[in-house]
Amino acid sequence: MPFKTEHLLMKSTNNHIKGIITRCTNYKEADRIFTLISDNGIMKFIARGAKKPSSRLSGHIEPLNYVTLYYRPSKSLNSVSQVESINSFLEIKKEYNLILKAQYMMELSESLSSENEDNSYILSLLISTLSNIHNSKIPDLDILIFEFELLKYQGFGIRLFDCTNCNKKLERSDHYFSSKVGGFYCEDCFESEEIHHESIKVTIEQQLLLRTISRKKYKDLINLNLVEKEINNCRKLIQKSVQDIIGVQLKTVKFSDL
Amino acid sequence: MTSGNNSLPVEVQKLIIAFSTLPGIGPKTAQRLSYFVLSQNKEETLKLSEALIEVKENLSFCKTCCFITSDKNSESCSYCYEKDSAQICVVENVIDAITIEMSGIHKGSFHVLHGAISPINGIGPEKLKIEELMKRLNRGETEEIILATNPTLEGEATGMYLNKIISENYNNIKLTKLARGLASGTDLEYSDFNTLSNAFQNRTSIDEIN
Repeated sequence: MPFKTEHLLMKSTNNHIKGIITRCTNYKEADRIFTLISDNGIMKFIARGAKKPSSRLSGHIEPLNYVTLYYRPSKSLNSVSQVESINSFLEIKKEYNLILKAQYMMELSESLSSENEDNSYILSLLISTLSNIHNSKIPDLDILIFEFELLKYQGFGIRLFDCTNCNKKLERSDHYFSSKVGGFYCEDCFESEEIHHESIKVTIEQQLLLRTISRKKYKDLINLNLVEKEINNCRKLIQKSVQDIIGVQLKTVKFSDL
Repeated sequence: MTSGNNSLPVEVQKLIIAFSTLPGIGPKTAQRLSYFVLSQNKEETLKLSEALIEVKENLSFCKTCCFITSDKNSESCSYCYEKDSAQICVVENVIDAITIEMSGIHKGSFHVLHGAISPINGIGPEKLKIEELMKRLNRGETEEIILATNPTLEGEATGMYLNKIISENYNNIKLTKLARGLASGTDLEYSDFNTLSNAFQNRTSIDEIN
């Protein structure tokens, strides 16, 4: 945008924050309570009168909007005084499937973020994935990269190259993955350990895909000729890990074509 | 609920719990309402309880249009018979249908979905009254569907889903949606990108307006 008024507003209001609105709830006659994924983690706000058609907040307070908020801090809910949209991800909002996928990513980010903690990496990862997904040939690849990076950042990265039990380097063959330990078992350990019931067999192709994601940058990955079926199988593995980490299944999982 | 409530009479505790189940009512407001009911005279309280019972006993949702009806046992309500079923306006909630009806703009019938698709809140298409809408369309009386879902992310997603399934299964039905854009009385300066984008896309010739 050629004209930016942001700096003028920043001078007049001390408390401002940038973030993506993940969910909104109507409250009382015309208020809206909403959740924001920000640099400072998950934050909750109240936008008074936001449901009124004449409200200056109404259009901005919508899920999947990247906004700058100006607010008055409060003990309970911070009250929003002004909002500016930075990116409304309009291309995503035009496609039903992309909306479902975006909601899944927002819920995943929410579940792995905390309150009052540095969250800038998760926010930037979410923004970059949301910005790229509508141009992607295989949107599920973007989501897989997002999931993979998010888990790695939070310390739940998958061990791809060695056995999680004996640390021996994995041979080039199919192996068994356990979401509970966040990695693979070599054949010897799989035979000896009582882990058969909780492990999933992962083909060498799927392992190679995950290894490629761990080594290459996004711009290189999107130019590779990857098989959609393998991507979806890898996403199922990551999903299983997420479920074990947070203890519940995300509500959006069943809607995001998994 | 606070532990202090345990010292209250059981009747008051039950009332507080009952009020807490209402949308937008937290434990504190529930307590306030309960004490208000206690201080109210008996006649007023009885009126309230009677009104609540009457609503539940006499009214239900029509099996066809899913709007409020007093014809509990019949397949279609009187409203369904009165209105022109060639044009169906699909809305999220009963209150939306009432608002449109009060404006007098829409002469056709309504279909209330009772919500909108919101995966992040665990609401999928199966939880809405979409199957009932499909049954209506199967009768072959409908010429146009007006999607009047809210211009929110959930409302738009619901509209897109309905557009997909209706256009796939019923080629002869015209699908329209309410215009999106700037609302009367708003300032362009404070408009969000989505509203502005819609307003530009849906701009009309000045001749058409006049």
